[in-house]
Amino acid sequence: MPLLAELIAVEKIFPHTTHSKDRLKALVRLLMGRKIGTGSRVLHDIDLQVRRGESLAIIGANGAGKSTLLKILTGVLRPTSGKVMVNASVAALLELGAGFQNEFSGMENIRLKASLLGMSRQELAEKLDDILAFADIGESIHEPVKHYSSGMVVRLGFAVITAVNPDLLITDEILAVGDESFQQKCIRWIEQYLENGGTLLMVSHSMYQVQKLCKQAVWIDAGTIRMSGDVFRVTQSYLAWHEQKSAKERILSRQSNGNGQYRIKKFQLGAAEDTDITELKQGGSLCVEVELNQPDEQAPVVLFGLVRADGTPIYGVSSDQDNIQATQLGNNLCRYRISFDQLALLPGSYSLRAHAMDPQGLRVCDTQELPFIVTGASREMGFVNLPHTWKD
Amino acid sequence: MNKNITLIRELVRREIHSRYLDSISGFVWLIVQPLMLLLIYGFVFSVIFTVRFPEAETTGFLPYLAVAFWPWTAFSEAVMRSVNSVTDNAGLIDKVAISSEVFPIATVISAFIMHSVGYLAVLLVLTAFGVDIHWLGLLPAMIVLVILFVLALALGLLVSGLNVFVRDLEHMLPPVMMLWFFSTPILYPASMIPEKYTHWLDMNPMSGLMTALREFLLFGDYTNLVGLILPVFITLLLLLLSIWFFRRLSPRFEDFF
Repeated sequence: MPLLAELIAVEKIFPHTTHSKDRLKALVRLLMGRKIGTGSRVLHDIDLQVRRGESLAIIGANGAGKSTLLKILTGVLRPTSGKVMVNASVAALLELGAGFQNEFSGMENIRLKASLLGMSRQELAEKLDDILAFADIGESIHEPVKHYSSGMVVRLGFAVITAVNPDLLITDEILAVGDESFQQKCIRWIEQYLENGGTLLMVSHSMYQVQKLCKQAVWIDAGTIRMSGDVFRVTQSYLAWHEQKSAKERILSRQSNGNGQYRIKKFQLGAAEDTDITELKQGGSLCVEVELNQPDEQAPVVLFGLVRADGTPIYGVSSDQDNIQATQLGNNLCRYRISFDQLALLPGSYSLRAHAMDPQGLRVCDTQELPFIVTGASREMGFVNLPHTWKD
Repeated sequence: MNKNITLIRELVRREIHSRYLDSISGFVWLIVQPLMLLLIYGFVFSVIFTVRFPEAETTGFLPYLAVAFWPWTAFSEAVMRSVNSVTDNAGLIDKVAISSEVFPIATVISAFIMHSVGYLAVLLVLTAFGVDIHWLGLLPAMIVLVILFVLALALGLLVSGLNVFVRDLEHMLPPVMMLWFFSTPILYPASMIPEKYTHWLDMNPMSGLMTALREFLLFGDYTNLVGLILPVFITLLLLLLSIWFFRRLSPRFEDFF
């Protein structure tokens, strides 16, 4: 697939601008063709490729640099160093109502926005009806935009975008406003657009929307790419990181989808059987025990997932993969026990997740997570120790 | 490029609408405001100071003043409005990939369009009052207006770019323009300038332009095209400088809003 946009080693430093002395100094340096000295670094070491037909989400905490990244991609901002190459027609919706002039009517703003997006007068005349139909704000189109609700502004902005049909569509949190039906309309349009070969780059805090619309994701943290790849992998890590940040509880009941048939009644882990500790020595054993309720004859399947503290999956195994039957305890309870011997994990913090699944092993009914720490003095790198031999 | 032209056209349309046409009196003010200034100057100089100079003997002071006053108004308004044209649109420049120069360009164009209409109206009114306007002189006068426009464009680019970095500029500009107005032969003929200052005034591209306008339109004297060479030269030099200046700065505007 051809490259639509590429960023190579992009760095962005915002110069200090509060004091007029700084501004004058910057002015002189720019006129002499030199770089502006210091400032605050908001992006660094960004390498990114966008190919035709891709749908890429950019996620990250507030202030991580997502919007700056989009601005650099759209050409609004120039990077301090690094290369930006874009060979596509780009339509961007950065923030709510960007490019709208409050004093002017919706209609006049459509004209302005259309010319900003490079539409000629004839093109606009041909597509005006479609735009108005998509925005669907009725007679308010002749009112000044300052009287609009935030939802109406987004409607207008998105409606103009739909008329342009760009190679690359860039949106920044625009679906966060607007009512449910309009959001649906936008999502349907974007899906259609993607189906027809369009390319999407979106910033969103809604992991639902991200997972629905995007196949790839890039996680920006503190100005640089922390993770990129498959959307589910990245969003899950991102969410796990958020959880780590916010919740310190030892047991996190992460998911309960109401199908409470199979629930985790007991979940413990330790260095030996029947212990409940959270610290292990490197190379020791990790013994795990879960008890699940079992309302009928078929025992639920259990899936264990070993993840790093940031949520990166390391290993997962389920009872049905290994053809293991649960031990019946009576009282509608069953038990699984598993032991990971000679634990290959390197020192660090990890979590073990237990998922109760239906007997067919298709649906997750309940999830619990226990954090634990592996201690040791190893200086090896990565997550696990792989068996190896040095040859001469 | 095409995109910028559409955009400039849209911005000009918008500016003309909002500044001049949207308020009912907007269009009237366009004529009335300079007209009132003209009358004030006319009153002060010809009635109170009773200024007399041979150039205005045949035409009268007011027409003599009016022919130069309107182009100056267009020029000075274009430059003074340009100052904020980039900073006022920071919201747009910061959100949309857009060439910042379209804003000062659109501001200068709209000021000149509107004041050209006013100028034409004034010339017609003067004719109606029996002033002998040489309409053939309108052709060379157009050349002068184009030079004036380019000069305004050059300065517009310069001040709008500079204002992003030095915000005090918008306060510094009005007195500077006023100084320029009074040191240009608009209220008086160039011949009234004392000998020892004339070489200073030759540096002022505006004086040659204003003198030429009067020669073309009031006296039907089209011989002095040579007098335009220096203003044209200075204007082009300034334009090149401004373009260089603006290109150097504009990629970084967003960092300084």
